[in-house]
Amino acid sequence: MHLLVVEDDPRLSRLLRRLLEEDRHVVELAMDGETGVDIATATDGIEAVVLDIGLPDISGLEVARRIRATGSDVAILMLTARDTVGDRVTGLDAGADDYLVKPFAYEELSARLRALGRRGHGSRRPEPKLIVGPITLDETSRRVTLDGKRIDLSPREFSLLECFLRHPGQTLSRDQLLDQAWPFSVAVTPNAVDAYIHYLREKLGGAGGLIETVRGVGYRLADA
Amino acid sequence: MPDGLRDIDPRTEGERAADEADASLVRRVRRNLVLWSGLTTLVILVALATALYLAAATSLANSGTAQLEARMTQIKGLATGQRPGPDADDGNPYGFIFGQGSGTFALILDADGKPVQRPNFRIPPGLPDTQAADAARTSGRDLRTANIEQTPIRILTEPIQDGSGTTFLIQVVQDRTAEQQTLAIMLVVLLIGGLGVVVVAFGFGTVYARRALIPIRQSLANQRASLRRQRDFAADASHELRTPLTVIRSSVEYLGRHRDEPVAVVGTALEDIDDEVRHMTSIVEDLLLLARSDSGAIELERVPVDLGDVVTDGASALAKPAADRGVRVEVDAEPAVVNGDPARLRQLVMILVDNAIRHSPSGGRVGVTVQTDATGSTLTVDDDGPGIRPEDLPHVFERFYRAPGAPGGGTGLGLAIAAWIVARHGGRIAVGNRASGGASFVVQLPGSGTLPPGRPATQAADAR
Repeated sequence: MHLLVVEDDPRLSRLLRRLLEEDRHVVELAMDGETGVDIATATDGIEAVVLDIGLPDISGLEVARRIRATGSDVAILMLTARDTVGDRVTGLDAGADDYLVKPFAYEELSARLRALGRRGHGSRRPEPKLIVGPITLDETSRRVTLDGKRIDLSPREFSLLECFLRHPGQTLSRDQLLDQAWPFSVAVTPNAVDAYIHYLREKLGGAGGLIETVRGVGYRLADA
Repeated sequence: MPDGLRDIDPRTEGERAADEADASLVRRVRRNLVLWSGLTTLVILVALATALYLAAATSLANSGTAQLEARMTQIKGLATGQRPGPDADDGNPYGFIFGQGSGTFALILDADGKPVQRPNFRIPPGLPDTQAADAARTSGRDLRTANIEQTPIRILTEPIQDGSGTTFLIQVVQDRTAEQQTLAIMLVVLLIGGLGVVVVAFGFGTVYARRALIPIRQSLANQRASLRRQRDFAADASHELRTPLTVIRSSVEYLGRHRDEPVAVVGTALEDIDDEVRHMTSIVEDLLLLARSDSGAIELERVPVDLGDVVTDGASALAKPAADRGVRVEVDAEPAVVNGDPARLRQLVMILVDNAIRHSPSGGRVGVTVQTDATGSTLTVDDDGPGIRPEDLPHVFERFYRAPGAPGGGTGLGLAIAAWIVARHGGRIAVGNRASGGASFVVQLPGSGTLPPGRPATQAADAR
């Protein structure tokens, strides 16, 4: 998933980024609320926002309201050190989809993000697995298997495949793929997408043919 | 939410209910106060008006009676020929006798109660009053009031005997119309005036009750606010501790994932844990200090301390963190003796200088000066930082207050502790922005400024 972490504590944000990237998420960082709103609303590439309430400039509640005010329906998971019922209600009413009280276990944050990801795609699958044909992506273990055999993908390839598996049969433009699978801070050209699609097809072997080129637009995962 | 925003009341449900209960208590007290003061005024006024009315009525009746008695005496004198009265000129003691300008007239009745009448005189209907005549015949004197043809009168009846031994009755009658009118006017004035006074009393009662209850309302509001501050303080403290806890917990999870990797690879997670534990320790220490200061459990030493020494010492203890940030700390301290607690004063200096260092840009300068004058010693800590926004100035000494965008690293309690230390030393602390930019903290401590005898003078130059 392409995630935005809005957290002002440098250690916590660094740690979250490290853990989330290990789980093959694409992570953007914002150290204050204004930057958070800017990144979250700049593109629709962001799939979920991990939002701390206590920020130095504007509160996380305000960030959530502003993001919602733009009509965005990005998933928002709020992190807060305040745990009264009133605080939770305020957070959810401000537009958050979920709420996690510090100190939380990273495992829980990770599971909640997966749940938000599933919900966001309109399906409540019993298993946190994305399956198309012989390709299986386990969202929990963050692993890809091909006919039951594990294949090793780079984080970028993983993100690209995740995008396709989330939208089977749907044509995705190069820009959409860039938004979802690359951090905004990395300067890339749409050609990079072609290069990574090429790697991905090679690693998928016979199943690589499932990723079809839609000429002049982008790519599509054949809905096997 | 389509409209996006909504007001957030910082009070909890319970606090709102408590505030509402306070307000209704105040309203009830005010209503009772007004009601009781109004009723008291009313009762006093009714008693006063009644007394006044009765006194006036009695006084008028007495003077009327006195007039009747004077007339009676005069007529008796005329009748018995002992004392000629002013209207004895008509030479006839019988019949109607009018007192000149006295508002009275008299009848003389024979033994049977029949008026002894001159032929051309008409006796008003209802007179003579036979009951009064009968009563006077038996008791020797009768005074009563009556109405004849709606005219109120007062009648005094007494028997006399003329020279021949015949018993007559003299009935002196007085018109009480004027007297009644006076009393009626008085009654109206008392009723209207009294009503007005009661209304005004209720009005003033309301105003004064409102005014009298202001301090009570304020006291209630202060109590409530103090409770809220305590709650916020606890919430802030838990907030400040939860983020480091999260870092520690996540770091441990991270280490758990990488349990087979060498420490060199995962070392930052260990450093993070170490840093956060230190940070939490300083927060907990500060919290403990403030909690104990709130309960008054901290005794301060009172010994002569050279503030110049303290400043030099404290600043040099912060030399390393200052150097790490590329900030220069310049001390210009003259010997300044104050009565105080050396450890707390050192803590005060450390807090202010550390704060200045953290807000200074790299290459910046922190200036620390100590000066003395007749009233005491002044410690000034200036920095080259961005200064403090005017709207934040009133809050910088509040616990856990952080201006938006303020650099992290502190516990959020330092300046609150600094303010407490200064207050306990009987001094003043102020904060402002320098004309050249940057914040300036000024601490004034009372003290003679001179060294106590027997103590070697410390030179500012040596101390540096």
